[in-house]
Amino acid sequence: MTNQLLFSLAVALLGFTGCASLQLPRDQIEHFDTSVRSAKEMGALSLPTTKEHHGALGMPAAKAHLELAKDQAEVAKTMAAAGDSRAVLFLARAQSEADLAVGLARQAAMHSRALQATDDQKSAIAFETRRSR
Amino acid sequence: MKTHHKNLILAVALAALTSACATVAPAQLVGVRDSFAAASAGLPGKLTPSALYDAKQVLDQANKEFETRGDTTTCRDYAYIAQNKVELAEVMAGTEQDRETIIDLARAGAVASNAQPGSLLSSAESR
Repeated sequence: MTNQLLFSLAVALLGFTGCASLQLPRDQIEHFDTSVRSAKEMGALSLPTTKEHHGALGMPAAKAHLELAKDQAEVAKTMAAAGDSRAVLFLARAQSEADLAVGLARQAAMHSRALQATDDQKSAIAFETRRSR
Repeated sequence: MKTHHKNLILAVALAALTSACATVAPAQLVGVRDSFAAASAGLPGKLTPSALYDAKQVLDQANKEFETRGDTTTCRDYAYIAQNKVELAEVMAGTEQDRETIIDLARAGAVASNAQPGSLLSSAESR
């Protein structure tokens, strides 16, 4: 009787651990959240669509990657809750999307500065030309 | 006897077909291999080699997964991440190129007529 009870308990325990949820690495989740926050702060959601960078459904590329990142992170959390070991890799996919959104936002800011600097140079040359006449 | 031969030929053909299918890399993996090769030969290879190296690390994992287990979801996940990393290396190379433009212009004093001379240079260098 005792043996039977122990056996039932062991089977129940095995079943429980088999269905147990998987814990996503805390540092990776924090890193992901920081990247999403950075992308938003750098204006990833408000960048215009350009010829070089355009995302799905005509969305600006940075915004599209950020939306994908958030969606994939949610999927990763659902997978983890279901005990799916692929959850960690899915979170890495989400992280790569967030990194790309940050990169695109940074590039847009730098590109606009470069255009401004070029315009400044043209103005300076024009001014010098006028003055020397 | 003839039926036996036919069956044998059919079995060999099926085996050949199966092995042929098993060795065809998924489109994602083929795509990222091409993207990586192009990026290595282009601007990212010169300006952002460390970002490209990050992409290579993940591409290697995708290739290894494909060699050992075939076209699995893990292989496709790695290929997906590698593709994003290659794109990031390209984006970072573009940023680097713009930064160099700003620094060159500022050094040449072309933007010195602005109210805050040198501000552009220092802000570009600090990023």
